[in-house]
Amino acid sequence: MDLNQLFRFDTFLVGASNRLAATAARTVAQTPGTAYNPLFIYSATGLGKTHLLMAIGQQAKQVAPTVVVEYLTLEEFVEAFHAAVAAGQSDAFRNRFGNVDILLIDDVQFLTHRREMQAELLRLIGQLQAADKQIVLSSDCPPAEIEGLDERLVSGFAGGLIVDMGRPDFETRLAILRRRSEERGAEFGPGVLEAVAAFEAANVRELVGTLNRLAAFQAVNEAPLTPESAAALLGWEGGEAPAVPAPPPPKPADEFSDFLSDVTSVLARQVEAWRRRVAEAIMRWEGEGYRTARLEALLNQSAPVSSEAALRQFERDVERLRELEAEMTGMDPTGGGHAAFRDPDRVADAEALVQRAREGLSPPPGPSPLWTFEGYAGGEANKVALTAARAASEQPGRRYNPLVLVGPAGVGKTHLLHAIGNVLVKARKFKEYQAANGEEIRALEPIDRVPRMLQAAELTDGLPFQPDEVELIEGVKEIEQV
Amino acid sequence: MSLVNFTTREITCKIVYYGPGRSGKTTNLQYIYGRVPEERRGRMVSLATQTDRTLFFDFLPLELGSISGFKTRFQLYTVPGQVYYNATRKLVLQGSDGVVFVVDSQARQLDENIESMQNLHANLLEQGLDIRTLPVILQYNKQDLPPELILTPAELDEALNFRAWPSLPADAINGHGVFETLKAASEAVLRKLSEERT
Repeated sequence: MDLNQLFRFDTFLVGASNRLAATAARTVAQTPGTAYNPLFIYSATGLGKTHLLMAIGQQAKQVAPTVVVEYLTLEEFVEAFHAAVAAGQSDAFRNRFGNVDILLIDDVQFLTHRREMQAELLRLIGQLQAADKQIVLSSDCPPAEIEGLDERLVSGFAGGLIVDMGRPDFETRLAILRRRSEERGAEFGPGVLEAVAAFEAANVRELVGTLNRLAAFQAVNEAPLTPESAAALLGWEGGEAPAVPAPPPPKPADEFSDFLSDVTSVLARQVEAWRRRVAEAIMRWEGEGYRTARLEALLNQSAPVSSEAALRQFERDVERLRELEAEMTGMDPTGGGHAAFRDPDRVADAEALVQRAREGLSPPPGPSPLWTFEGYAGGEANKVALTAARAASEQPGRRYNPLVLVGPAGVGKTHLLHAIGNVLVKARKFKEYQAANGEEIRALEPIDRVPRMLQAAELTDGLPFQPDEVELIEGVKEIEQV
Repeated sequence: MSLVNFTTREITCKIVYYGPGRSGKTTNLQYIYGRVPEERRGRMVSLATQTDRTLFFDFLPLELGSISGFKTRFQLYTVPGQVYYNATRKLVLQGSDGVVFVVDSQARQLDENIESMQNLHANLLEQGLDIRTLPVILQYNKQDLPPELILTPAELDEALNFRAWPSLPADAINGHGVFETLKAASEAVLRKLSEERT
């Protein structure tokens, strides 16, 4: 799309609410691909995002007429992509955007849930960044609030500069009104523009719309508007204009912002690209609370180094620390604050911390394998208890539930509990241990139809009878009845 | 003074406003002070006599924030213009990264300008600073005065600028040319970054 010739930096009014965005935009226009890449500008609608994007394109072309600038909205970007795919010309699409020097994409909030487009944009941003080409994006919300946006895009945007623009303050609103009045050749009586500026318009479009209404009204009426009549015309409550503050002192040209922008672009040219990337990465990770000693050491190298691999490794380490910290916090809310989780040089320590926490969360040890029914010395004194314990282990939950073993210390209560536990654990793990042939049991048959070859002497030893398989059950019942 | 420190990721530029008495050095700093957002500037220290001429020196620190990952700050100094404060001038010049020489454009002040320029040469030499490599910007101040009282930038270039330093006309009291001068000085100083790494 062609750049609107009216959207230039000299027609963009800078105030406190948009100074940072304007300065950053100027900087990337003067030194594309070096200072802030990508630059992500967000604000509510009507506050000048498109103006800034186009101003970047125009300024960059002034600085270097051969520079290739592509401005388009996300919808246009999507359309172009789909058209290219439909025509089997994906490569042409990639060549088109891969060869620009400055890519300006407006309204990227519409990336919501468009996974395919997000992947394409991610690829394109990576390609352009690798070639030191500038990317500028605008949205009506910060990246993190774009629903369904790929995390890699969010972090990619954060790696450049994300700036917002707020609603213009009184001084900026007044300056906008004055400039627009001059452009229209409209003159207003004293206090009228101040009265309009005092109304906190939601955005610049609304403000200019208000001015247009007043200008149109004044053009067909002979009497000049007063602040009061302007307020009445605009339908403000009670027909009265909001209180008009004292006119502010004349605003000096924003020389400091220009100076800052100038210094920024000079520095961007002077500091080697790899050093800048490392320094910016340090700033970013420090800001997020991570130790950056490794990157600081890199920055101190006198000879140029290949920083990309080191930065990627650092980022991977941070990602791992984040995962570990999240896991740790899930297990122990107080455990996440450990210094190891903030130092990418201590990933191993962080792993060990989490491992220890995991072990702490393991289930308590199982029954001792030493204490089994086989090793239990049965006799008359404990026959009932032993038989009941065996029955409970054979049919857990069905027989003797709860089973309470009572007796003085040292007679084998603990032994019996372990023995029951061992039977249960073996039963549960039978399949896990692959002792079975792996086939699922397809059908259950009544026990009396299945020949039972238990061959388990311990089940019958000591009983006052020698039951067959079925009688064993009956026999125990008899004991119960006893 | 180290211009860039990679260990602390700081870039510090010391720029000294030099020139004869009453040429407008402090006016430059005052104008800059008035245009810098409060959070970006330190306290301007100015020790002056009752007649408002700088007795010792002015100091204006500017914090430009993080640029390209480096905390960037400028320190602007003025020196006392009066001839008899040469010791202070030498002190202030120590470790400077660049000099803005503020010229009084009035024709009758030409001798003072020349004398101050010679003094700058002598002091830099004494400090071991090479005037051929030190960034110097000439500011022809008071160009707003009636033409019959002042020399034009071309005439001043002819009289003072035999090293072909960048020169800019200015009217510091009204702010014209002040930031342009600062920008020119900053650019010249920052361009030396690649040569003066620590």
